[in-house]
Amino acid sequence: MNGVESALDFFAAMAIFSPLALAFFMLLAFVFQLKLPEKIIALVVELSVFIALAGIIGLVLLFLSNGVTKWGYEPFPTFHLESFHFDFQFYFDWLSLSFATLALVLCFVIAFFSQRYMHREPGYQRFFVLYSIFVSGIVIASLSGTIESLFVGWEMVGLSSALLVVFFHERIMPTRNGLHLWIVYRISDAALFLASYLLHHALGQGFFQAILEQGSEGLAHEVSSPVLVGAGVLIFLASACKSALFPFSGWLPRAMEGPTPTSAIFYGALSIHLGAFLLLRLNPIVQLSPILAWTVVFFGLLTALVSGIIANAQTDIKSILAYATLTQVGIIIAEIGFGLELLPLIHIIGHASLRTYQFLRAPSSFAYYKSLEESLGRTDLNKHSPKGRMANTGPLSLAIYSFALNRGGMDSMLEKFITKPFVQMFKLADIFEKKLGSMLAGIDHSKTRNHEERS
Amino acid sequence: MNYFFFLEASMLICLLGALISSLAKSQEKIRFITIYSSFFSALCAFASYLGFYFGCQGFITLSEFNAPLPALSSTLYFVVLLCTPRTKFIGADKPFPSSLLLLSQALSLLICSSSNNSTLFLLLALEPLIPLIDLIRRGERIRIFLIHWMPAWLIAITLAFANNLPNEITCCLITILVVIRMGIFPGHTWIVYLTEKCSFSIAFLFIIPMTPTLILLKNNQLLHDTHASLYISWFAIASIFYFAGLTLVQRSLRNFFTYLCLALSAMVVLGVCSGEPLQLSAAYSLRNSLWVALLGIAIIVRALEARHGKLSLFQNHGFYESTPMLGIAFLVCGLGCVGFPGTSAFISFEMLADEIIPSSPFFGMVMVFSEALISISLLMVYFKLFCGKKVGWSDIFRVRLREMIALWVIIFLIFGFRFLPLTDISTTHHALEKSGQQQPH
Repeated sequence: MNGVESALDFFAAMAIFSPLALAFFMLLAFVFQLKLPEKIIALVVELSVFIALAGIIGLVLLFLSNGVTKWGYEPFPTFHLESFHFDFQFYFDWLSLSFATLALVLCFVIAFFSQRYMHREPGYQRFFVLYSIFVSGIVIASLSGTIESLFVGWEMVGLSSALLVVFFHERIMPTRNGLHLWIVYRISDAALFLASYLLHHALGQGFFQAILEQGSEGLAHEVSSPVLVGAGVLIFLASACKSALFPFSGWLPRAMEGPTPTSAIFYGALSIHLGAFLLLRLNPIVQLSPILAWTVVFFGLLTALVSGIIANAQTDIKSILAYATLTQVGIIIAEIGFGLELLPLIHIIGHASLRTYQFLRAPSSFAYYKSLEESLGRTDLNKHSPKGRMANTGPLSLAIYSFALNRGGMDSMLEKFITKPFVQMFKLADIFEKKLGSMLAGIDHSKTRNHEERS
Repeated sequence: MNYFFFLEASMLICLLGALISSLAKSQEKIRFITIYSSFFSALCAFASYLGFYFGCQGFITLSEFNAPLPALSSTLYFVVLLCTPRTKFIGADKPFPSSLLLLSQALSLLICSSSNNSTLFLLLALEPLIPLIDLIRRGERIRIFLIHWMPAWLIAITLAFANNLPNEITCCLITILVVIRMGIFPGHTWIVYLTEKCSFSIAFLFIIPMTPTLILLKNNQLLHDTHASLYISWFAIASIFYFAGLTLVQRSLRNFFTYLCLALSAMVVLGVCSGEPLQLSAAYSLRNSLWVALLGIAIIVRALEARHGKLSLFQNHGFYESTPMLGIAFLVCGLGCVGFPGTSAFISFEMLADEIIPSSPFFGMVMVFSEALISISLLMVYFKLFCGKKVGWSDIFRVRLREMIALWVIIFLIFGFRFLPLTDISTTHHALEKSGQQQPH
């Protein structure tokens, strides 16, 4: 191993292990109920994100100075047992480095912002524990070189996001919304898990490098196309859930229940783009089938259109921003469906940065608008409110307005046709179970039920 | 070296402890004897594990396959006793079943170290006597228990003593026995009743170790040859989905926990029914990981019930503010149950699904989907228990040091179990292959 390779490995280890060590340290302190001072927490978080960022910058500089375009890093030996192997590897190329740089810069900014924003909040430490799990997850997901390592990061991001939505856990609504988010994320995880199996089955491994080097045409020549298309469909489903594409968009405005910094980083910047990143990473598989590629474009554009309409009828700033974000994400997904690579990446970076700024600015923008109102008078601003805009409009506009107010009826549709019948089926089974149990035990079922209802 | 009698000593300590505690009059003394007997037994079991690692054995010979199990089992028994609130021992309406628990620990040590098929069947027949005695002691009805267990006892004793049964009949009997003992659909009703009416510690220490997996592993080839494993798989997959779905709609915490155990044990049974060595290793490792994680949840459920009484899942309880440690541990154990990355069940679960999908894509998909359902219901229950309006804080909500230690041990095992010697999948796989070669088909 020459000097450049050693340096590449060193910086790669910095980028990966710094957030992991942070998550481990924070979790350990949390499990052992050690109350760390706010300043120490903030310092540790910022320092470790900074070290990871320095590692990424070091890699970028080495790539530029030595003409390296890709680099694989294997921190742990592959777990291998007969035909089963679990490869926990990382892959650095311009795509992963760009996304990781974006992620770490935004994580650093948000950590800095949260230090003050969360000051004296009772759950300060809990916030940063979950935040550090998120940072580790997003770094692992963005730098992963195999579908297995991506899955690890993907799950960590999902769990931390759901728990941060429920950060204010004394209120009921955040718990409901957090659960909603978790359900969608678990569907996404299951789809990614099955996709990873199909990729292994089709290619014998899940290395991104091999997929990218072969490209769509190479893949089509070498392996059974239906299996890979199946994997592509599952990857798209996983991305659609993670990026809140139509009809899974319902969780996005609900996720705004969490503290503002988390809304900014998760739903404005990183989590929401992780689905798009996955599609971009595995674009050769998506492009393998024109029907799948057009489906991606269709759902991207549909999401953009529907979210654009819904955003116009929202009455709170976070929801407006959430749907505005979704409009852009829909367009990014459509760009990926068209087979573009550089444009979606630039779009992701620009959009994520802008939304982070807007989400962080959102709470103080009320004060800004108030001062503006005081200077200009209320009438001018009321013209821009949804109610003002929808005044004196025809029936079509009202129908669209009503559609937008109902958020496209997506949640109610999913609830009516999927969730409710499913839960109802198991409720009936539960009643049957109780009756059967009472009968076999020789207990009067009605008495047991009355007792349960009273308790 | 055959003079390393720590395993035998650990069983003897439990038996002696059970005897002395049943004779003792003072509740305080009973508590002292129970906890210390369990502790020294766990210590001896751990010494036997280390002894095996360094090549020392006693009368009962361990193999690479079961060497860590007695240590794990007795540690978990000790952990359960350690965090049992003092109020359960002293001044409770129904006296704590101390001697029964120690007997159960001795039996569990024997099961874990047993390698003979007939002995296993015999122990399997003896094991349910402990919850049965507890039910009788508590004055509960035993009809449902007997309806299920009368045939199961008959089968277990037949299998233990009749050596010349035709293969088809043996497999048929094993299938019925496994369906009843593991609570596979439709033989599960008695387990729901047991967790409701029996002492919770006795009930969950009986259900969680999933003892029949050892029988399935020992008779794997036979079951495979007669296609009985296929029928068990069908029962198991139906159970996984059915119980996973039922966890979503439970209104009582105990029932939720019971269905969670049933769904996960059905998942282990599904894995163990295969003839593929990789799948067997994955299922066996998964069983060991689930043993720890489920026991962790059981301890938390018991700790919450000890503070609050039986808990319904109708409303949010908001326990986090008063008992954050229980909340964190619940989350960690829950993640351990669904094989979240980093926990010891992660690789086992990945490997199990990876092996099941090629042989039966339908089974694989149902398994992955059910695992998602379980993880949803686990987080839902976490929210119900630990989120919501804060309950009025009083000293009883404070987590005691003993409980903390117990939970730290569980959390350590959830994350670090596979790093201990002889506990990773590769060792299990190697041991299974070795035992498969030795086993006459």
